[in-house]
Amino acid sequence: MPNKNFIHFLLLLLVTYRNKHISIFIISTVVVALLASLFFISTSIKKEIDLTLDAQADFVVQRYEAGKALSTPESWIDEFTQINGVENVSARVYGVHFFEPAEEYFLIVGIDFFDEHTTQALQKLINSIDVDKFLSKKNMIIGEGVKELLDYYHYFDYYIFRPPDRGKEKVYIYDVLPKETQIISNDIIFMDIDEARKVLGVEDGYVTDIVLNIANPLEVQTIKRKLIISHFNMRIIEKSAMKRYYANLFNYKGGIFLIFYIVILMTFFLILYQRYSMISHVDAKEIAILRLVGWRINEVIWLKVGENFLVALFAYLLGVILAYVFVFYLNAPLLRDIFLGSQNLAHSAGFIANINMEVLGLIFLLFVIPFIVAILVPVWRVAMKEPVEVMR
Amino acid sequence: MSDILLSLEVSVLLFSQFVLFFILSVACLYALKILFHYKKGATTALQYTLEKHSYLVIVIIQVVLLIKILLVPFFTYTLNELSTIVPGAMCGAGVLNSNDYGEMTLFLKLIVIMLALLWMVLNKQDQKVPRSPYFTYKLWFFLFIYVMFLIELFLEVKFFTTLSTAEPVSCCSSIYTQNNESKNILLSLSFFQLLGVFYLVYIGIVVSALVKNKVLLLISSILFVYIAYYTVIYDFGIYIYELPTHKCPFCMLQSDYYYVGYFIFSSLFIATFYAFATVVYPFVKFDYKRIIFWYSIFIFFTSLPFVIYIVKNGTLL
Amino acid sequence: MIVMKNVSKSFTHASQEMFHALHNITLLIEDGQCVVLSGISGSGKSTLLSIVGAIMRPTSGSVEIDGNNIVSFSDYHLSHYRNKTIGYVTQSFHLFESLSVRDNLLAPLVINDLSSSKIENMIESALKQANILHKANKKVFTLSGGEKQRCLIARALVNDPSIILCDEPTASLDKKNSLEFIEIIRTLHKLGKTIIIATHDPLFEELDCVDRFYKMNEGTIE
Ligand SMILES: Nc1ncnc2c1ncn2[C@@H]1O[C@H](COP(=O)(O)OP(=O)(O)OP(=O)(O)O)[C@@H](O)[C@H]1O
Ligand SMILES: [Mg+2]
Repeated sequence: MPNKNFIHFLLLLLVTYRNKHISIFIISTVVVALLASLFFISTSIKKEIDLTLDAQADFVVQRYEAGKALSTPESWIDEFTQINGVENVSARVYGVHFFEPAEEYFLIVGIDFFDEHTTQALQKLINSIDVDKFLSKKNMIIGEGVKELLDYYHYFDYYIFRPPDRGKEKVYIYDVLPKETQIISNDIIFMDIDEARKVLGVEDGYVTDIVLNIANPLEVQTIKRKLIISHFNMRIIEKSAMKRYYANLFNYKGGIFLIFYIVILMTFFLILYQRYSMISHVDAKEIAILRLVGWRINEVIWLKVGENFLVALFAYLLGVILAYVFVFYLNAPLLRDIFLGSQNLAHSAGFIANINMEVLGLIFLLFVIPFIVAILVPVWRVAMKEPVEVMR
Repeated sequence: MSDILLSLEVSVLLFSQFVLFFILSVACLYALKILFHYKKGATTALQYTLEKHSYLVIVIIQVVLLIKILLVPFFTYTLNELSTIVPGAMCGAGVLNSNDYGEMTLFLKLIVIMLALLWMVLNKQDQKVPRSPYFTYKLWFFLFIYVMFLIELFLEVKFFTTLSTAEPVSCCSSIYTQNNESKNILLSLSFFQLLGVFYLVYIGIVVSALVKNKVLLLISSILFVYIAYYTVIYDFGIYIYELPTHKCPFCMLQSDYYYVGYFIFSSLFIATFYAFATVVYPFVKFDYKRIIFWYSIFIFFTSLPFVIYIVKNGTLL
Repeated sequence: MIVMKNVSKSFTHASQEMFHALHNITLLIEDGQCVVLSGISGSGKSTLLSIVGAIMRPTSGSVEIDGNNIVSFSDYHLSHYRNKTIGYVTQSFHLFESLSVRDNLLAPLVINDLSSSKIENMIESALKQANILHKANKKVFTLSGGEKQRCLIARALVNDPSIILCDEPTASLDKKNSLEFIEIIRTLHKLGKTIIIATHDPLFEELDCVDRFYKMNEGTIE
């Protein structure tokens, strides 16, 4: 195993002949930065989804008939509350509104201000506004993206919805979503639950769905069974199923990118192989000297592998730092659009800085392993050259 | 494409494995070429060239060994990560046991690393002695490791491609319950009986190391690995988790338990390696102190949570 | 003791014809002797030195050094032998030009398991013997030809080898530097090192410290 003096000598050569490595170092840094950016963006979005899902209720219950979701009767709420182990049962009224002029969909969410709330995010939102003032007339709170669009079409103070009953609902803009609520959806509109019913055309006594929490995670299956027995025409969506669905969806996107990336990586390592196969006269002379003074072939190989490992390591570190700045300070211009789609109204918020050891480890494995492997054969070729051939 | 293959961890893992496959195949070609032409004791120019070619094989296996050692914790980490998309799996154990290939894959991974380490010992000796007495042996040995690696790779690919995200699997709580594998006599033992057997075999190792008997050491060290595995799951594990029903070799690899599993299993691995190296090679000095030391380190790591629990709570679980 | 028996070396030139650089050389050099090989250019002096210095293998014959036939050594052991026993002062300046003199001397040492203070001492004494201590921290490319030569000598001495090989040591030196070089050889000879010098410099012909004088011609010793 290499001793202290060997490593000292290795560093000495690396620092003295640094120009030799500079081109590989720069390309490597770019490759790592690209890779790390993709990973940072994907883990950040994953984290965002996780956070959102964690804040969701354990069960979402819908009336479901003939394969279609229908409005759910409000009377179910009381029934569910009776079941032991069920907590925070509340009704939700929501739906999408098609904003004709811009051909965009807004998500309308009704809030029952006098109910207990299953999600923490909503609770935060309610705490942040003056409820009496909000309810004094037909008001709504809108996301940044909605605000932009409405402004563009000169709806500065209010907007007129056209409910299915052919009426008109004029709703005033109370505020834009406060940043600290952490509701990252850009296309969302919050309004009072009764107002939302009118706008969406949900009949009185009905809601879109019912959400509830389960006090003890071990009872999930028992309670699910009890719920189903109470009404057969229902569908229950579990939080865990949602999580799995999103994880798979996400892996799908990430995986495609990874395959694409691996192709780039392979090209890079081919170049690397080429580069190290063309040994320069300086390299050859350097190795001839080492062999002359008694270095063994394996020691020369380890010297070269060590040098390249350090180059790769520094490129890795610098690349990761650059990617961090690019993604979390500059918000990943260009790349974000590729990843999310530039027309994606729902996700224009910034990325949550979220870096863990696992991601860094993944990037390390993905980059450093092929790097080292790619140079092994050329390095060995150089190291086994006869010193006399070089010295003549 | 299957959901599993698209998970980042799995694709990185498989990609790394195929990179290793590629470079090992290069080494394999060179090894075959050397074996084909090599004549012991000859002093022709070809012989010296072949010797130089052997350096490529050596450096490749050394680098691959380093990478493979890195990849084992990554593999277990991946299993733990996959437990979020494999329904029913709570930790890596559920994922690993969800089809027939998982356990074999992990086992072969460890075998390959063990063989590669033993190979390094042989190589070192071969280079140390003039005239390279083990030159052809080590190349044959390498080819054997290569074949084992191929099997490992095949099983791993099979494992990940047949892993389903749709069918629910059972996890550690049901895999490792006593009645599940009752055909195994070790599992019919009570807590203290198993513990007794465990320490007995440990003493057996210490004795065979002290009397420097290779046959005894071989038998006791193989027996020990087997018994230690079950003792860690059924006896020591529950004290790590502080829960009498939690029997799992995987959860202890997670940060919740301070990664204690890695200390436990790697010390067992190192101890077994020293025992095997001593038994297999005639030229390795019988260093009984080193063998006893590493087995005792393992005993220390396994017994520590046990002792801590008893000291803290004053009773058994 | 160096015993060469029937050593031949031939090269295959590009035109496929064999070229015999050494012909059945048999030579015996006692420990502590100082031997000069002279001869015209192309007579095979460097080839002979390379074979003794273990950076080239003969086509046939044996080279026994202290009882071991180094021809049968594997590259692994040959390198070790080179590192421990041989100090090679090469024909042209094979040095790391961008490293300092001191750092150049590290090369033969770092592959051995030595303590830093031991390395420090060995470098110091080699620099002193080669009379280059005052330039120890200068980069090699800033040195004059004579100084580079002494740097080479210092590197050859740093491992305290028993055999010193010098290939045309005075070819690129002026008179003053050449005499200085001979002084160094004289002290080394007194220390009991075996020294082989390949040269066509007449300066070596009448030296008192030279024990043997061989003339080479077309690959044979006359
Ligand atoms: N690697 C080689 N390939 C082919 N021919 C070689 C090789 N090395 C040496 N020779 C030939 O062998 C002969 C002897 O070379 P050598 O270098 O030993 O001469 P020399 O006596 O040292 O000459 P000089 O005084 O010029 O250094 C030369 O004719 C040279 O062309
Ligand atoms: Mg010459």
